[in-house]
Amino acid sequence: MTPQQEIEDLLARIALGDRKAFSRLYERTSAKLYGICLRVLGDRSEAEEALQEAYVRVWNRAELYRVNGYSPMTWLITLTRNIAIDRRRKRPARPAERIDLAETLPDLGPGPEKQAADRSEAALLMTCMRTLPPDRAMLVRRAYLEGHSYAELAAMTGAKLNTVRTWLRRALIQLRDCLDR
Amino acid sequence: MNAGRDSEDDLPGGDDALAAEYALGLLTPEETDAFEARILKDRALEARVVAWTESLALLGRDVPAVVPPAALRRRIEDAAWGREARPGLWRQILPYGLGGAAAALLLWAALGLGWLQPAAPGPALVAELALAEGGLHAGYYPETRELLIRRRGLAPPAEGDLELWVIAGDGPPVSLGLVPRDAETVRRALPAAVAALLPDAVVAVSLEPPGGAPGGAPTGPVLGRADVTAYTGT
Repeated sequence: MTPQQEIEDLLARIALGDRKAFSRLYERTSAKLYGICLRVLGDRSEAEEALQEAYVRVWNRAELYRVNGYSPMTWLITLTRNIAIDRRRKRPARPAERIDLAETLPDLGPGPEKQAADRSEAALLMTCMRTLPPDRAMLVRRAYLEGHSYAELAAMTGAKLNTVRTWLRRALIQLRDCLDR
Repeated sequence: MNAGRDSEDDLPGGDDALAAEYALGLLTPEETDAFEARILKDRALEARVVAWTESLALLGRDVPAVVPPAALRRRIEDAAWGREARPGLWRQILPYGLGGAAAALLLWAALGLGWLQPAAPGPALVAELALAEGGLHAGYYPETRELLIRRRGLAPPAEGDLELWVIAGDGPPVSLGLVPRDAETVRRALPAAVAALLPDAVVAVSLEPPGGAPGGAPTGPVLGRADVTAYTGT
């Protein structure tokens, strides 16, 4: 059974109320999802709360994972990211961090990817991200992992909102063209 | 339209880039509502969102894994399962001393007849519509403001599309979107104003031209109706 198939099987059993399957899913996926919560929230105790909310939602909503045709890991990651981003947005506003676009370094390599079955998809995305100018790739990644609004990205980069929006849209078009090849 | 934001026509990328912005959460609340209203009836646009969500999730996979504190696991299990231990479904069957296949059959029958509560709570609100050739289930999940629509033994129409509507009080029917064709089930985020109509409302399904009713109102025959009720797990 591939890792994706195993997760799919566990989610199907969780949807029937199988607690052992839930524990096993936690063992298999919690480090990845906790990593995402930490990256989004930057604070351990908030990340722990977000992770708890995510797994409780997995327990209560496992029957939804296949609807819309999402792959199981995508469903888990998207659910977790959304919960973490919601929490981040509800925090009191902090002074906008400044980003110096000129200082963006190219992304030199993906993190270790242990799931062989997914390697090709993840590798494709990383390859395509590297075709973008580094500062644009950074904007895409930050938008995904930090949930900034266009207004915040404009404040952070010192560029006009419409400029940032055009940059990001062009980067997304480029990414889509690369992914579709 | 927000001051300072270009109109859609001035921006590169069209609907595909817009779908990516939606998946990233970059749209304003007004833009999000308008986009979600479009998704209810635009399958091509919906497919773009699904494709972008899959692609963007790969960025999540690139984030380094960090093992959470050991104590968190127990807290999470307690929160998910509730403090009182309730026997899992299989435990409720096992005392009957059945073999695997027989136990599975009994479980299937018991779930269908509502003898056992699934351990996971379901949607908050449901509507079950009975049509001449099958049924439709609609379930609403408030924490994500999502509506699930499932065909139950109901084939998609040869011509046209089935469209769901919510009718609250004396108000006009408001679209809840198209019934899925290729898959049996779909779930979509509802605009907040539409979701607010659901409690104590009536849901109806009509047969419309392909792509749904062209205006905001049903044009075709109503094939079924049901009350929206609170989900009780049966």
